[in-house]
Amino acid sequence: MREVVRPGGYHPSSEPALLVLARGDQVSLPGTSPALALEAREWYTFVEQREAHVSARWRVQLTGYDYALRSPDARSEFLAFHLHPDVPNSASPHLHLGSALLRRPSFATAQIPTGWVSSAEVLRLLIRDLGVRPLRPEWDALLIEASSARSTARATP
Amino acid sequence: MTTRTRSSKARPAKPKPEFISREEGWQILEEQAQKNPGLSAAEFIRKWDAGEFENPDTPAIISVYMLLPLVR
Repeated sequence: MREVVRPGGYHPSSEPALLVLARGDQVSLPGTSPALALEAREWYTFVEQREAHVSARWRVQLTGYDYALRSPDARSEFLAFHLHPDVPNSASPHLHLGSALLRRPSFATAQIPTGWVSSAEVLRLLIRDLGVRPLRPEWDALLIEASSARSTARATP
Repeated sequence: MTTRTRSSKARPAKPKPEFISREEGWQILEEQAQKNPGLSAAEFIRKWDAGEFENPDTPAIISVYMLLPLVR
């Protein structure tokens, strides 16, 4: 099993470089029962730190990721962690839950990692994706305003 | 006196990333696009660039989208 790097992935570029596990295939994870498989893709860029010493002049910055947990036959999807801000309506990191989760009791007690989640983001999930009817038609603008006001008060985790 | 000996168990070698050519990138993209959602790489790119995926943010679509740097 190897990671595969896109051509030119060692040089700065306006386009993101790609690191992908196992040439894009899933990798079965030992010790899981029923079995799980992992698929992983990462986009990265090189950021120049002009003030830094030459040995630390460049740092790698992750700009996108897709980490997916599936069954080894790829028929069942459990979780997919996504960050792909260039995709319309997908600016923030997020998590997709597969219906196969309901058949895996171990997920009920697992602490699945997330980034910091604001109440505005939870409300947006309820309205945009889960069909909750908002009381105010300008709900989107209100949530944006609330997010902006809260972001300055957010503690660094 | 206690004698400590270095473990004779060798650590597994750290895997090195594999750099691939643009042609290999196309092959990988073709394989993965065919698996799901069952399109050729060229057709996937055409549909993506044209905005023809009704709901692009699904794991199956994003899984292939994230491989586009292989060929771009």
